Amino acid sequence: LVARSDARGAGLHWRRFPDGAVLFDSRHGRTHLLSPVTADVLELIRVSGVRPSIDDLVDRLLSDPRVERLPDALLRGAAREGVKGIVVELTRLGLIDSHDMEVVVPAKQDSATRIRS
Amino acid sequence: VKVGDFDAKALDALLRGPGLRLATGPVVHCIRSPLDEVRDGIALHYAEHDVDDAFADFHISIDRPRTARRWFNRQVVFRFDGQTPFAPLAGDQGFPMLEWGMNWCVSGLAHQFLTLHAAVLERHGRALILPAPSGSGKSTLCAALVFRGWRLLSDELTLLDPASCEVVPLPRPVSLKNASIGVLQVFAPEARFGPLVHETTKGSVGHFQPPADAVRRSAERALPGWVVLPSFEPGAEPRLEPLGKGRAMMRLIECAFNYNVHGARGFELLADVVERSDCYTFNYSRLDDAAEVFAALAAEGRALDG
Repeated sequence: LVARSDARGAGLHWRRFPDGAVLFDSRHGRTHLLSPVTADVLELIRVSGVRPSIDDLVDRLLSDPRVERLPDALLRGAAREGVKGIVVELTRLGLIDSHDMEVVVPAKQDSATRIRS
Repeated sequence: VKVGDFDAKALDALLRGPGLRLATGPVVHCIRSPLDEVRDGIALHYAEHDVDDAFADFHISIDRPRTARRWFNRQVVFRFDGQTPFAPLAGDQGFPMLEWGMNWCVSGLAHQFLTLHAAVLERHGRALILPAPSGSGKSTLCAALVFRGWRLLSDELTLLDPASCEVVPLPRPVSLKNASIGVLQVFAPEARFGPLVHETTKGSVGHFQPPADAVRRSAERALPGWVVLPSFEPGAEPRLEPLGKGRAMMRLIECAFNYNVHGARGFELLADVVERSDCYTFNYSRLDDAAEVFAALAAEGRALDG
C-alpha cells in the first residue's frame, strides 16, 4: 500500500502511507498530513492534467477499485458533499487554486463562491 | 589519545590553555574552562572519548561572567566563539551548562545532519528512535535500555545523514532529571553518576557515564528500524501499539531541529526513515516491563531480518 508519487504542481512532494499522505509544499514551507481520501482528491486534481468539476471527482473516486475506503461511498450525495469540503480545505491550504478546478466551491455553509469557471 | 589518559593536572592545562579538543561522534568541540567541576565532569563522563588535535567544529567555554557580579554571586556562563547566547546560571551548574551548550551547538549548527530531539539506540544493527518532548520518559527509557543490551547512540539528539538515511552515533553522558535519577539508580546500580546538581531550571539534574562500548563504536552507524513514541504514565501496564507511518512522520517533523533548513531533502529523508521503520506508541510505568517489551521487539526484528 505504500507508494510514492510526484505531484504535477511544482514544489509539492509527497509520500503515501496506509494512514494517509504526508505532503511537503516547498512553495510555502509547510508540511501536511492528508487523509487517504483527501490525498486521492488532490492527486486527481493535480495529476489528471484537466480541470475537473466536483462531479468529475466524485465519478472518478467512486469508480476507483479502492472506493470501499471512502466514507459513505455508497451515497453519492454524501460523497459529493465530502469532496466539496475537501476541495475547500485544499484551497484554504493553498494546495490547489483557481487554475486547478472547474467547480463551484462553497465558501460558507449557506453560500457558494465560484472560484473559476 | 583518550580523555582518561590525562591526569587532572594535564586536563587542567588543556582546559585553561589552548582548549581540550573533545571528539564526540562526528563533531569535535574545543572546550576551555578554568572551573574544577567542569574538569572533573569531563574526566568522569568523557574518559573513553578521544582527544583530537585536528579541526574543531565548535569553540566553547564555561567560565565566570566578566562582571563585578562574579565576586558576590557565583555564576557560570557559556560562550560560543566568544559570544554568550544564554543567560548565566548559578555557580554549580558548570557541567550541566557545558552539556546543554554542546547540545545547542550540534542541534543549531551541524546542518550536515537532520537532527531530531530524540533518544536513539541500536540493537542487531537496527536503530530505535524515541522521539518525544521533555517529560515523556524518553531519557529514562533510553537509560534503562542502555543497561539491557541496547547500544547508546544518543540520549538526546538523533543525527540523520541525508545521503544515506543512517543514524550517526553521538554517544555522550546521559542526562536524567528529578525522580528518574533514583529510579535508574535502583534499576541499574552500576550506572556511574557524577555529582547531582539541584535547583536548575529543570530541577535536579544528573549525568551518568556513557558505556565504554558505545563510545568505542562511535563510528558504527545504524539504519532506522523502529520509531517509537514513548509516554510515561504512572501505574500503566506496558502498551505497545502500532502507529500509522504518516502520523509517525509528522511526529518526527515536529521533533526536528532543522527540518526547515533541509527543505525537500529533509522531507524525503524522514519519509525514508518511517518507510523502513516499524512505528509504535508505547505507554509504560515500570522500566522492567519496558525492557521486556523492547527485548521482544528486538528479537522480532532480528527474526525478520534473518
